Amino acid sequence: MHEAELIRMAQSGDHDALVELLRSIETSVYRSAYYILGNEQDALDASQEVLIRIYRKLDTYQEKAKFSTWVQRIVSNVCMDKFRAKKETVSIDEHELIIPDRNNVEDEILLTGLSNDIQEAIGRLPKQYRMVVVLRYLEDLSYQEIAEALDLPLNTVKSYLFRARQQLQELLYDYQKGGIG
Amino acid sequence: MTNEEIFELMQRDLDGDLSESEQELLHRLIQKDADLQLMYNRLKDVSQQLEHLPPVVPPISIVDSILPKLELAAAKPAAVKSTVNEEILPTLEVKRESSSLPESKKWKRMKVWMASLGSTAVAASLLVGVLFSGGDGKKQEVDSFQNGTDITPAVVEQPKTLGPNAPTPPSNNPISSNSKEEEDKTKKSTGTATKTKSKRPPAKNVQKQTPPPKKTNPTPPPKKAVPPTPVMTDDQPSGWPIGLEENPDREDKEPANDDKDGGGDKQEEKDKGKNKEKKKDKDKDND
Repeated sequence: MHEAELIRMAQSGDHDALVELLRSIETSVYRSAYYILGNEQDALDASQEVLIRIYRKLDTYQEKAKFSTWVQRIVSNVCMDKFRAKKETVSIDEHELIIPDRNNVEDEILLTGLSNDIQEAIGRLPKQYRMVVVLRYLEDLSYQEIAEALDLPLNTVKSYLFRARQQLQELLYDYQKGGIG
Repeated sequence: MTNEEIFELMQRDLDGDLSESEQELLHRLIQKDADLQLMYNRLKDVSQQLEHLPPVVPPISIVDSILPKLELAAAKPAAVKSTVNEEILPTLEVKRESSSLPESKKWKRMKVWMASLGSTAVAASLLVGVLFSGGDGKKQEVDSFQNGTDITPAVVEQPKTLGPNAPTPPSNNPISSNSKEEEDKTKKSTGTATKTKSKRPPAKNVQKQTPPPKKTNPTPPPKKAVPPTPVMTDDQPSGWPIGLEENPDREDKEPANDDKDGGGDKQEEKDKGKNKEKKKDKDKDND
């Protein structure tokens, strides 16, 4: 069934259509939450909360925005709530100054492959950069859609994305060279 | 073109955001500079790795895990229920307070009204009872009023009992307070009635010239030794030279002050003594 029709049926009170709609977005919600939060348990908790919020707020959705953008906005909000709950108060500048422990980095490189390197590198990005990268590459959103989802100016989205890629490139290069000396 | 501008072109190229002319410009710049080419290749590698991130799948069905909650909430249509939940959740406490307060206020108001109605009914019944029981006293009241005695309390009490009860503000225990007030008023009314009765006899006594039991009591001898109060002595000289006819009026007025009853008896005795002296003087003059 087409997504738009499913949404309309769910909004009109069709419980089965609503459940089917939630099933259709379940994986993408979990994937975003997983790469933003960095672990499975937090991703599961956040995904549950996101789906419940969508269940409750579906009547407020308007077709002006793309449904996936609206969903990812909720994902980002829930993830930000999770960050706040964990009191992760490391700012962007502070995060850039953090030098990872050499032993841990080397162990991780030995145990993990290339994909895990990039995942590890994503996990080391500031959360704002992380969300932009996740929405750009995992949800395939455009600059504008990312700006709408995160409620950020367009130029800020571009800036975050460019800086994120630059930092990832530096982190991966360091990994390939055998860690940060 | 600065390095920052070239860097931005690289980034935009990775996102497919460059026009054909911009793409050509970027490729020309990269081919000229090996460092720029290295940087571009690294960024492109990162972008490719990001595009090929492993697809993460939830270990369990998240929808199935929350479905019991959703179905419990789905007793009403989902979209409609969602609106209800959203409206209730943020303002849950406020609405409960706002919904509970008016009910308590209504109950309080009802209690106050019931109490006021009951108190007014009791007051009215008491008033009627007093009026009927004092039916014989009406004539007496008329007579005493004509004689100048104070019988107004019964008339004055009607607005006091009926008026203030209706707008009385609600208190913690309005019924008890009203009942107490009513009891006090009834006591006052009975007291005034007794007072009127106690005041009435002097009026009757004036007409019948039979002194009340208080006055009929013979003044004890020790009271004669007690000097009169300065107030009474001050009043006496002004009224006395006028004549002996005024003495009965003073006797009528004095009993109104219960405390001055003893003083009034002494004055009568003194009056009698002075009259005797005046008669003696007149006899002397005649002689």
